[in-house]
Amino acid sequence: MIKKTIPYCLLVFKIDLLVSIAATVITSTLSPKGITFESMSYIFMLSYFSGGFLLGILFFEIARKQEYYFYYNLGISKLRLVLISYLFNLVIILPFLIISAYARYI
Amino acid sequence: MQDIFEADSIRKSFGDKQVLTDIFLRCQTGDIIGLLGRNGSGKSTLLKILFGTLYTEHKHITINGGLVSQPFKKTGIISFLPQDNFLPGNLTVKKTVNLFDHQIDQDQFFDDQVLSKVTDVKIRDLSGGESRYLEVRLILSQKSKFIFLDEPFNGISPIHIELIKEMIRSHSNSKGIVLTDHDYRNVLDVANKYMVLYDGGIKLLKSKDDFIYWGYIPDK
Repeated sequence: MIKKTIPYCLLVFKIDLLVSIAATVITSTLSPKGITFESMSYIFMLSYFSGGFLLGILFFEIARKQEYYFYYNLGISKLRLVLISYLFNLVIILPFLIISAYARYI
Repeated sequence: MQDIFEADSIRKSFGDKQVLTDIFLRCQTGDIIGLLGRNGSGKSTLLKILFGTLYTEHKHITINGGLVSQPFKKTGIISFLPQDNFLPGNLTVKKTVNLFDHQIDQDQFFDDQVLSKVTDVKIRDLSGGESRYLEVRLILSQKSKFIFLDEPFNGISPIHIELIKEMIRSHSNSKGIVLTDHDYRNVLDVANKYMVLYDGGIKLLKSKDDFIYWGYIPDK
């Protein structure tokens, strides 16, 4: 079933990533004292797991709403789609989380 | 085996407007029900409620006697063609078909005068008619017991409408089909039962006079 949700997950991931990168860049640029790698990764993560993800869902809801029927016909409800997408985003970002934690350690 | 879909006591309102009032609909294997009605009469709303994707407080849906609250969550029961194009635009036709149903016989599916030319084309690059034709063919090829088609002839050229009607007839041997379309002549041609949604209720139609009586076609 997870394979069938990939088009949805990828779309949400792309938007989430773009929004999170934009949020990090804007915050870093506007910060008067400059910004550390640690706080940059914190801002990125915060956006990635909250606002960026929600914007991804919202984009689909507004621009591609009719495509929900592709998934409904496969027996996948909207709630299940969102949960799978959240897990997908988590798995994709896991290497970055590990690298970030390692960088902080050294 | 004869499968029976029954929906009873379906009511739906949007604000103060009561769109559906105590609907009863029965569909069984072999049925091709042509559901007609004027714009805004509630045809699409009814099909979405029957599929289980539109909420209503009042409904009673059974399949072979068993109560089902959201039929779409049980695969193999109902496949639904919505009014708008629903396939992901960024995938090719071949990938979409494979993703939608990996058990489908691709050689047989693409042995088709319309689809054989567009297998590697992205869905968003298909014409409106090609896209609709693909959707109808994909939905009808599912192994579901019942098929609901909301405007299957929309944007399709007459020659391809004939192919779709032939597909609908051949699949009705093993499925129950409900279809709605504003192209009522084609609906009348392919269906073997006719109903009209009028004033929130369903009326069974038996002759052309009934269509005139319920105000669906003009009296000429």
